[in-house]
Amino acid sequence: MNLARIIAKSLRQHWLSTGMAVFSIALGVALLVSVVSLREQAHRNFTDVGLGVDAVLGPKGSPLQIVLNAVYHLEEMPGKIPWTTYEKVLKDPLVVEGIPFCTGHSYAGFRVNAIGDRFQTDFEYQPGKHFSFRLEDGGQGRPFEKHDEAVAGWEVAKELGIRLGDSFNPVCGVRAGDPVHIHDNIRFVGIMGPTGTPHDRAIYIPLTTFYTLGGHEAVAEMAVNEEHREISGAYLKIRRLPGGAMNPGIMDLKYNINQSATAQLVVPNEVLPSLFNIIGWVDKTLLAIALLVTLLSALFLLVSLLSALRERRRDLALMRSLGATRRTVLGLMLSESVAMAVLGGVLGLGIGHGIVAIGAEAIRVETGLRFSAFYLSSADVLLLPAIAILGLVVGLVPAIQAYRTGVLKNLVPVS
Amino acid sequence: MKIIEVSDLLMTYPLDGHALTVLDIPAWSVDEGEQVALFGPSGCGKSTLLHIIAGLQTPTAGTVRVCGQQLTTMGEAARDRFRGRRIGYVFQNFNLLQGYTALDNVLVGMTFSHQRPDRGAAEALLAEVGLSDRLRHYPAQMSIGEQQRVAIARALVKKPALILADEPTGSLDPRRSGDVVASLQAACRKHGCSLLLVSHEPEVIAAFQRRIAFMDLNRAMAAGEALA
Repeated sequence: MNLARIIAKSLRQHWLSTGMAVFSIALGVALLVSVVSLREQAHRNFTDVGLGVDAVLGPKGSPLQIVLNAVYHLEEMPGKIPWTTYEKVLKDPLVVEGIPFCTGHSYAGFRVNAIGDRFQTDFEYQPGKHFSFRLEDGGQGRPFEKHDEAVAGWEVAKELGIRLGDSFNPVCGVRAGDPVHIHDNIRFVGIMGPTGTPHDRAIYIPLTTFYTLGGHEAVAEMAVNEEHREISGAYLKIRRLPGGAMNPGIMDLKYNINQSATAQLVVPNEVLPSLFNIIGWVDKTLLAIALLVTLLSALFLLVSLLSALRERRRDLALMRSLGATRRTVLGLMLSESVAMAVLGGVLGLGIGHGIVAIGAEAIRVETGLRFSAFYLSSADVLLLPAIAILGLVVGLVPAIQAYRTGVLKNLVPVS
Repeated sequence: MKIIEVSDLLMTYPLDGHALTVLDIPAWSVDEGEQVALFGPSGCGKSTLLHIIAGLQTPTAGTVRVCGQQLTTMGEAARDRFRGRRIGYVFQNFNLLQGYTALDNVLVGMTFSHQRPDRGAAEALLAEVGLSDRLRHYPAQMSIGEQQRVAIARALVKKPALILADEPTGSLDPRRSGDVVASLQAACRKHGCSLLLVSHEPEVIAAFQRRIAFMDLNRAMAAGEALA
């Protein structure tokens, strides 16, 4: 019978109050873990993953709207830009390459983007990573080559059960009820392996197909006449400094483009923080609630320890009579408090990651962004030591009361 | 060698502005290996004397030496540790840990005596007091006599130099009282430890097979001691 077993025995003896205190701590910790993990992963997804795109050339309008449309396949582009503007920007020595696209179509709730061919082979959705159609990478088929061919993102294919050779009719718009290009049967020839980016949730067709879809007669000539062609925007790859840092010259490029009446250069990593400023109050509120729940659970732990102490004074006095010093008794009480807090913390970590797992699946289905239940957030690293300290602080009150327990006064007959 | 040496021991409590004397013992001792029963009426200070010898209370004045150690100059923590190592205490009300089995109660006795818990030794002691079939039983599942035997095993398991028994038969009928006293004395003999037992029951004193000391109503040790 060592001190650890005595502590475990005491916790078992008061299993109901112990269990409730542990569970309440677990609840607070789970909330904290899930909120912090989802928050950090969202930041990471919206910034680092940011997503193989150094800059987006887009029309005048809200930069945030442009990024959400071009990179995350959300929202709508605020307008179009002339092809000539794009070509002019491409000639800037700072621009390594560009991939033009036209957005505004959809199929079964997924965006259908018309895009330059090289997107399928040269675009890096993460540094050094290209889309793959190989079976071992989870892909199938090949890149589109003809105007009536399409490739599907992994998530789209999975959700819609797309097989190579299946065809679809794109919707002219992104809202329910928008007209369908019923005469344009486009065939899936490839499925891109999973990337964990929003590109998994889009369908891609050749750029020129956009102009030749039925009902687009007014812009049909843009398919061949580049001088009159308009595009929604273009992904730009900027020449980096040795070591990979962003070239400060991008500021001049941005300034020059933004002076024009037709286009603007948007750097996702500059714009996305404003998104977090907009939704920041939500996660601050969630974080505050989680902290409040954790503090309330600490209070519950205190009440539970104090009520257990009332029942345990006789046991503690008896231990003192057997040779335990006041310090030993103090240590026992503090250890119990810390043990309960840490138990709650560990359970909370498990529940928290479970919540993240459920949330991650929902987010993946909605956005294509990949959140991991096993992501180690700052909360995971700091929470257990913090919760142990909280347990220590909370345990001080009952521990001091136990420290003051008189031996003879409490060794009374058991009725 | 003296296992207990008391000199000029005075214990008083403040009462209505006066000092109420509970103990006043000029000199008293118990030899190593000796078994002594301290007999006196309720309220004469027997238990207080035991508490002082155990280091659970500090006297108003005087010196108390146990196993050659001067208890009255020790700090509380040192007294606790000393009690844990050298003194086994059997309470009137058994004072077993209710949530612990008989075996665990004995093992707890070892834990606080700073010994490595020895399950075999604990089981052997419980077998010695006739409880080998009650190891996993909780106090509430045992008779009063059995609980007291667990308390005796717990006191002995730390191999103390001295066992202090405070009215150990207070809750037993006369026949069982005699049995418990006999088994306590036998166990102390076997394990070579001294015994100081206090009681106000004539049956216990009658059953006690060694030196008997009397405490009178003036809270002073009687001049005349008797050997049974």
